[in-house]
Amino acid sequence: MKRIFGVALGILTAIGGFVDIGDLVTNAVVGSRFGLSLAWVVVVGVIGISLFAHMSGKVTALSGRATFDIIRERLGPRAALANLTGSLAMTLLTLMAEIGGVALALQLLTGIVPVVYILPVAVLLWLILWRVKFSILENVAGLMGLLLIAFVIALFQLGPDWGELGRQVAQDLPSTGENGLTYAFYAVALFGAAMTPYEVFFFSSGAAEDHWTSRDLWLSRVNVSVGFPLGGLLSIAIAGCAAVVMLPAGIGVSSLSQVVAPVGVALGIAGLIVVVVGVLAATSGAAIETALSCGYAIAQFAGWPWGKRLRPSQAPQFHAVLLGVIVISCLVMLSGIDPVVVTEFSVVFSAVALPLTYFPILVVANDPQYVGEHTNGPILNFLAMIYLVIVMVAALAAVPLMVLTKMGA
Amino acid sequence: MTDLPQHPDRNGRLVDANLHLLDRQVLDRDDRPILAAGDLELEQSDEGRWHIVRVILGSGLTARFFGAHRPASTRDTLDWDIITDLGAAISTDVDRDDVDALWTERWWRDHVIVKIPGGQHDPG
Repeated sequence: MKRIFGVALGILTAIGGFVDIGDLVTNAVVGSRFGLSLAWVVVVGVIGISLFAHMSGKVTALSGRATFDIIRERLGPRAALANLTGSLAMTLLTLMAEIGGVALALQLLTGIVPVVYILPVAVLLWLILWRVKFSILENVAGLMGLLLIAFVIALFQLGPDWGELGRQVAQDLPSTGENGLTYAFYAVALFGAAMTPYEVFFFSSGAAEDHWTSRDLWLSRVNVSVGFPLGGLLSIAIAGCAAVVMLPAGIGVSSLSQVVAPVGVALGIAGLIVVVVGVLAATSGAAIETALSCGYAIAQFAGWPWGKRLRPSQAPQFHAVLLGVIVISCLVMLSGIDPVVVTEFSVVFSAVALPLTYFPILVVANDPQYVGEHTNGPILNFLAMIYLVIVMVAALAAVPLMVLTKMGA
Repeated sequence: MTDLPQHPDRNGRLVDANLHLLDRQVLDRDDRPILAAGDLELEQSDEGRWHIVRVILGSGLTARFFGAHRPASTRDTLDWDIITDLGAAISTDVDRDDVDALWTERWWRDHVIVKIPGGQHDPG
């Protein structure tokens, strides 16, 4: 019974934890402009993150070494430091966006301008990271994000023309006057939102926090192979809602209220409240994960003790980093910058940082010194190699596309 | 580990410093992390053979960034003979509380973290 509970909990947290502010905003923007014609990118991204999250969890469970430890060991100090700088900048940007997302969700619930909420949210976030146990952090954040299922219910309630949505999935470029470059730009952004590097830092470090051993590997495999795809389904439902309500009306999504508006259309005020609480939960959960990921990455690079399983006095520099990143994010967001804009930048730059994170994981997942007999099989390696190519292409294309399309404008 | 040939002279294990040593996490006798191994200090014996005498902790990147090297006397090192195993991490027979190189960590602990209420509580 306890086992079944553990499996169910793992799957549910994987679903709820998959969607963050990047997925929310990017999927809704894409849905409102391209319909479901980019849904394939979410599928590609979900398969990729499942493969690499499982690999990084496996390496940590079997060797005790977490992702950034391995990145440094394989790339050497200089390349790893470059990677650390890039990944950290991206994760910090994501943290800022999540804190802003929490404030925006609170604004939707109360009507008070978001900037008022930034400082209390940041203080609360730090208190939670300082005092709350890892397993509670992980589970509560994931479970509350499940409220986003309201998007799936709303999509059915809207009673869309499923044939038309099906046609959108099959076509590559919609006939709404968008050009191929913007289409490619949003493909890269969606891919970056689905495969954000912080998710593997968090997944592998979480494996150490939860004291995983080789016996837990099957659990990891179930979590990622069931939970992440269902999380991806949530992403597609967000895009679908925007495709049904916003696309025909010619409204491009540019704010969080427009992301959740279709749910209000379908389910009324009660549904709207549920989905906004879901957004609040998903962004809070992601804020916790991104802040911890900053601490994990720096501590693992330097070789410091890290983790929520230690007392703060046993991992002082790790906790100093947590405090530091929250203070920086809070100050930036207090400037009143639009969290949606921060989000858009964070998903594009995520794509740039991907290859240097995923390559070392793949190498080490094949090294018996780390994983013993559990080295990757040929099929997994073949798929992972394909993904390395995709990730490289996305990384190289991201910035040129951003410049050429003026951020998809 | 990538299989390397046996050491020709002695019945030991041949280790590629770059692949199996450098930038690995150094652990203390209770498997607590110390720092990452940044470099090695070699010495030549009278017969002309090179020996590893010390492992240098930390990358020294800050100094290198400014085009300099830290003088040997200020480097944070651990003697090679306290190393007990080379695996996915480098195990040693030292207590991390005795390692001078961790003074920055102790500074953060004593001057910042323990001053915040709850800093010495167990998590959760």
